[in-house]
Amino acid sequence: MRLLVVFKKSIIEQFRDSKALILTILSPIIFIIIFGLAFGQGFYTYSLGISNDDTGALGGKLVQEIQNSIYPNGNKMYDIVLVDFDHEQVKNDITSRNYDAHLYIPPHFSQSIQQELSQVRVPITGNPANLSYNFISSFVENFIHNFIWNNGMMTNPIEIVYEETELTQVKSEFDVMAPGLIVFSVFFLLIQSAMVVTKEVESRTIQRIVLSKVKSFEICGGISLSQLMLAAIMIPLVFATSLMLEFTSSGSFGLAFVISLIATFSAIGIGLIIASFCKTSLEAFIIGNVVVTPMLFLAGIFFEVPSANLFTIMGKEIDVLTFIPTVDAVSAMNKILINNADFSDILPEFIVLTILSTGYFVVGVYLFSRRYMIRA
Amino acid sequence: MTALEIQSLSKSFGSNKTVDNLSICVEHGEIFSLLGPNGAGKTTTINMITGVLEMDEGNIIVNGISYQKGSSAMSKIGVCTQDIQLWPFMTCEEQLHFMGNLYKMDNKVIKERSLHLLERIGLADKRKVWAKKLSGGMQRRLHLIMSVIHDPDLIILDEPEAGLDPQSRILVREFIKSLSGSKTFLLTTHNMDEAERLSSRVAIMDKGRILVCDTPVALREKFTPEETLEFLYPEPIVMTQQWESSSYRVHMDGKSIRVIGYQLTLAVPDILSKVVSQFGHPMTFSLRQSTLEDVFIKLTGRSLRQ
Repeated sequence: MRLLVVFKKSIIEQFRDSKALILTILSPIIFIIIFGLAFGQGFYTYSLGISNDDTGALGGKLVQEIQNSIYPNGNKMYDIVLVDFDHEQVKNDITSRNYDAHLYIPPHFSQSIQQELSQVRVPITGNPANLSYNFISSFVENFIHNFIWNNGMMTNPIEIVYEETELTQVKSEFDVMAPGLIVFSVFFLLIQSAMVVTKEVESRTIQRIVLSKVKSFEICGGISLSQLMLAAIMIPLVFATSLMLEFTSSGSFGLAFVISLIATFSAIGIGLIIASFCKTSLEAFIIGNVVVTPMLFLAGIFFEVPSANLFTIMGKEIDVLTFIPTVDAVSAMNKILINNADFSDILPEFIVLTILSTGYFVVGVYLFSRRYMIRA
Repeated sequence: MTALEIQSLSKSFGSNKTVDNLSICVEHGEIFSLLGPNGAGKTTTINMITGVLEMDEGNIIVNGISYQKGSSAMSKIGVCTQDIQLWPFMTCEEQLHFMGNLYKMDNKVIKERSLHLLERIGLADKRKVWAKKLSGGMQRRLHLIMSVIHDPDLIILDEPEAGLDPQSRILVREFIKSLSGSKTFLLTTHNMDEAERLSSRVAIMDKGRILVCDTPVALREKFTPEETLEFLYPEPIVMTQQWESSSYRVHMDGKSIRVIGYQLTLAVPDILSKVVSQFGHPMTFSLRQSTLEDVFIKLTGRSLRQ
């Protein structure tokens, strides 16, 4: 089968070009190390929802003081979102990241403090998979204790209650980012795939291949297989590096591996599309970077991107960003590695990602054929 | 038997007609050279024969199979382009095996044929060496045999001797000659000596059209039948006495005298005595027939092309 012949040839070239191979394998590891070191410890302005039902004055005073709290460098510690208390609404707001955590100040808050009545429960709600919640809950608890102390109370009638919307615990921002970063580390093979094709064009060896009457699918399939093999080596290395950087997950690495491979396949498809518009490997490198960079930021690894819903499939909202394969890949990886999701939980993402990957590959093969094979 | 027949082939790029109603016929076992200045349309013609470029009009018949506009690539054609097309990180043997496999050849046949071709071209001891580690001449020789690994009936060679040292040139020339008879060659070159030594017939083209097509000897006899007798002196010379002859012309240029005419061999003693009596003994002298290059320049002119 000629697809395997092209695959074998691509593998030989890939593994003998030691400089390119080392760079390809090291890049994602360096990438994950940089992010691990940069975001291993959190530090930014957190978004806190507050519902103040206190009938006295201390609730408002507490809100005011939280609102005015700053870091030593003068930056605000919290962006406060004042909301009416509705348990379901709070959960929804946390899920949709309207705020990172929610503090509820109950009706008898002032009374309990001033008259030293029975203890009053103050719930702080949030998603434990969201690192910000972990920080906020700790900061706010400490803040309330200081608040009680500063208001002259010797005993603390406040009982802080943590209400968590999920079951998982994360230790650092890196824990939250790592699943997405793992996908992205192999997604850079998009650039590599585009360059593999354009190298054949630059050296004109593509003409030899085309003259042998080999089919576009066989060429693209062979190249894709070699890139997938590279990804299959890179993914465990990137996982291992993440674990060394204290990424913690009890999710299925096997399932995460499969998702990463499918994401790689979509990257290869996009790489083939890019190659169809480039004449040199430098051009492919530049355009590849231009394509990958927005995908990195739009995938929702670092911040929530506003959605523009088009329709819904199996309960999954399909928006414009869905057509960016990294979005579903990152979503699936987060579910697997942070929330311990199994295959059925990520089925919608799996389906969309598989369809997208196949689609990009088919378009890539078609454009490759149009560009290089149509006259042959 | 006709191996390649091109009928009224045309190709335009915008308003520029690169190949204009071109027709040639190459017999089986022939080495046929297509000569022309840069931009004459040689490469465009080759690209249409191989199917890399779509023709606008015309018909190409390879071993009896006809291809028109919209047809797919022709099989059993070997193409050795002017640019070396090798995979730098693959050994000589691997490159040949890869191409053989693409042509769906049997692995045993590929192995035998690879070894045979590498031996023929003097690369047997380099078969395990990566292409990037070969010298330029070795790469060109490997590039040549890559185009014949699948045993094509028609072999197209674009400047096959470019960049080769004299030893390699002889090797390549012998390799091509050894295959002629059983295989058909279409050769393009700017090296007139190469074309004259190798070709059974030559076509000279310019501006997309074939100007002439015949054997090198016939072209010389037809377009430049004269011979040139040339004398070289160590110092510049000046003619003091005019020579009158109806059978030849005399040109003086610095240190040389060139006598041009028909069948000068018989007149050499007479001319030599005249030259010696007037200028003394020359440093060297030579009698040469016109070359294919003379024919080429006569037909295509001296003006520079693209």
